Amino acid sequence: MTSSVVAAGRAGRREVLVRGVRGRLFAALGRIVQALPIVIGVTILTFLLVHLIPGDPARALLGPRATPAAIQALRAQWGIDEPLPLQYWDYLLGLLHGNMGTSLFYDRPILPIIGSFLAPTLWLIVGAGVVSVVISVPLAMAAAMWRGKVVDQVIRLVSQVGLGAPQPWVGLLLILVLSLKVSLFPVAGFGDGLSGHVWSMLLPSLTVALGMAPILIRSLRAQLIETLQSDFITTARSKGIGGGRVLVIHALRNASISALTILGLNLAWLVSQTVVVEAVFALPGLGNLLVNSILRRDFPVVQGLALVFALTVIVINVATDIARSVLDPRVSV
Amino acid sequence: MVEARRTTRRAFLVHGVLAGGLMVVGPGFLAACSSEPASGTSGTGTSGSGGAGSAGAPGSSAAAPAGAPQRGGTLNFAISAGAITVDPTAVGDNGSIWTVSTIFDRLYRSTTDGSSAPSLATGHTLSDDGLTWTFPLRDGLKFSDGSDLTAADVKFSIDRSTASDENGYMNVAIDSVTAKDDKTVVIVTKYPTDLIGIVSYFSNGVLPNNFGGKSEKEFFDAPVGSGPFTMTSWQQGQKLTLGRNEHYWEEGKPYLDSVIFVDVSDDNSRILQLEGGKVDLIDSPPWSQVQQLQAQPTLAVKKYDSTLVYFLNLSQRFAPLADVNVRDAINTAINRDALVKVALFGNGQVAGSIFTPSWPYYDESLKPVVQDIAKAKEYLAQSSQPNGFDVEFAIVGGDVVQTTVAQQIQADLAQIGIKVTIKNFDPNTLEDMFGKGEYQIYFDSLSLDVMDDFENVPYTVDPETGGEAASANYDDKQLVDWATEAGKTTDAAQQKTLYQKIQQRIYEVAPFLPLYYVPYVYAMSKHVQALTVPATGDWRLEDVWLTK
Repeated sequence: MTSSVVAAGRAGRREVLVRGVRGRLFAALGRIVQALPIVIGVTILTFLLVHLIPGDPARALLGPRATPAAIQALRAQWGIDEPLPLQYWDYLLGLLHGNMGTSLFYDRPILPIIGSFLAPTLWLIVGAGVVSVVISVPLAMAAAMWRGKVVDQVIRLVSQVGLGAPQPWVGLLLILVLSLKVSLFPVAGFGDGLSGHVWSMLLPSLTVALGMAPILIRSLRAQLIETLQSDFITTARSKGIGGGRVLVIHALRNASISALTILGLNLAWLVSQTVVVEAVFALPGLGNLLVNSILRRDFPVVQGLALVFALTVIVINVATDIARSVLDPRVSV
Repeated sequence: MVEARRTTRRAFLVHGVLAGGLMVVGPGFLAACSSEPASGTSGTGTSGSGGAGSAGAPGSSAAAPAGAPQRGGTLNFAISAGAITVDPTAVGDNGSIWTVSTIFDRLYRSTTDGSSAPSLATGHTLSDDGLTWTFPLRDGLKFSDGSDLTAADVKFSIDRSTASDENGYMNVAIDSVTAKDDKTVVIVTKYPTDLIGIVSYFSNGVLPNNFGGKSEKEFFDAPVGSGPFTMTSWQQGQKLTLGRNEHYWEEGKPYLDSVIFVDVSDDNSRILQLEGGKVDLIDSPPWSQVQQLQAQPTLAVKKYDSTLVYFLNLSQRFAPLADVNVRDAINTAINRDALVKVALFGNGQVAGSIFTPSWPYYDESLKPVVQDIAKAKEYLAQSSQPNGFDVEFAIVGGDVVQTTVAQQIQADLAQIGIKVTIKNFDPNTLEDMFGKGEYQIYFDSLSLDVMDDFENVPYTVDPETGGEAASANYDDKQLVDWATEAGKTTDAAQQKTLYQKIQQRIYEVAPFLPLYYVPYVYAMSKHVQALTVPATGDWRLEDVWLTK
């Protein structure tokens, strides 16, 4: 929201360079390259965190009856008894060669493992984004257009409640009502085939969206109100263009920028929600994989996931900025 | 404008309170409607087959005559902790152990009546010196890929198990395994011992000699065994599918075409999947939900006697707990009946001996200690800590049962002046702490995977094994001697004497305080018939069949 003001200032200087598809692409690439130190920082932080917390994956894998000698042998085999800086260096070298390592538990390369757990999480994040926009936009519009009236108050109150309700509880409630009482949706799982996936992912997406929507509604409403009172709307009205058209064509386009920004900014939150929601709906996704790998101290998988998440957030943020710059010429990438 | 705003504020308050009230009360109604009131109405019925399923009876419920077994169908099983590996020598967790048991058969297997029965073998003979065991194999044994199962395969498998880090300890008495001919396995032991329990151990499941020519890794991607099922696909951490082994030796079994295990660690999700008809069978419903499940007409809940005992492991590295009077004080202050009622919702039995009733040579004369606060105070007064002390109780964070138990014990011990601080850890950290002895009071459990106390007793009493006694810093020479002796005899009477002496001594010295025994509980749709689960927990899925 505030960035459009800042961006407008920047745009004056950089506008010539950043217009056009090629300009945007170069700028985007530049952003991603700039973000690489952040990615490395994330991998270092994750590495330290997961290695320094107490717990031993060798002991966990071998079970309670394993002899200390057996545990030590496995740790040596895995290379996790070496000094931490050395382990991290090996890991970094591996990364540069495109090798993300092997899962200690599954004894398989990381990338295919992440790949096999990827789909439900992707569906969930995209689904949650779509559903939250579908919920938030009409509600924000209603709240803005009938500002101060009952409709507005109820929408704001209900969305406050949605903000406070814990996702697992919301998810369970939705399952109870929409899957058990009336068999409208599957109780759990990812489903088979495209239509199966869509049907299975609606409730999980809704669960996450209900947590996201309050934030979107609040800011969209503020944006819409501000836009509705702005000069160019008054001008449009005075030209005889009706209220609804005014709102949809002009105000909404402005507001969609901030909606996108908020979604992008909250991507990290969305990703964190996958962890709890996947557990409730028994979705075999990355959130589940992350939790279990941390519990098992499967270091390579945790590091791999942290890397994937960091890269995803950065790429999505850049993509969001590009989309914003397309929608609003004042904004530069 | 001012007028409008004033009205709106009042309207807002009124509407807000109404909406807020609905939000709070509404879900309560929904939750109440979704589960029938469990008390009173259908409570005693416990869905018919519930009663017959308990007390370790073979699963086919006497109360539900469903006719002759029908072949076919897929059993969808939502399991709280699925298999981590399918290598029988590398398994340590129940999910893997019990899954592996459906794929790889053994010479003998534990049964529901507390003994072991011949499986791949037809029986055994023992030489006069008690050292040479001869096992003739059944005729016509085949692996799931159609190849013949011979004594050479058995030798390869047992030798491999002996060499394994995780499970080799069970075979420590074995001197040599020989394939006398294609159909005869001869095992020579170093000293007389009960080999039947040993060959029933899951780690001694039989695989093809030299993995049938494949590499070890290739083999376990598509394992070949002689158990009732074969593994047809596995997405690790998500779903494991078993298919019928058409070459299984038991005539007509398994009835099921396939079994699909789905990993569902969330308790609520598992129950919802069963209620929603997405799966046919689930394990370990939370104790608080058992009654609610029993009350549902489309479901059956079965409790099976298990070999599970839960107890407190008291670290004698912590000075107060090294004093037997302190331990007696704690033991006598605990209200075990309340624990079973509050933490288990009545689904358990208070424990006296550290052995469970299903362990061989269980001593039922050792009665559960009844709470006696006055007596507990006396013990404490005589001890090194007459004014009480502070102690830490380590449990798994977020585990409802453990938290309830810990809080209950905290309240019990407060009555005699011992202040308990409950510390929450994640399971991996806790295991590490336990291995290093870095705890004071630890919530612990034991279970047997074969009908042979030898699997657990040395682990419990001998510090050399790095088990319970090692963590507790408890070294009792007499106990260790008895345990060693018991492992070196085939005389049942002698085993009984020794194992009962061990139980009695643990009962008196109280290094470990048994709390309760719990059953294995499974909830299933009414279509699932004949789920047999011996006390060792390894389901006999070959007996299961489905009605339409």
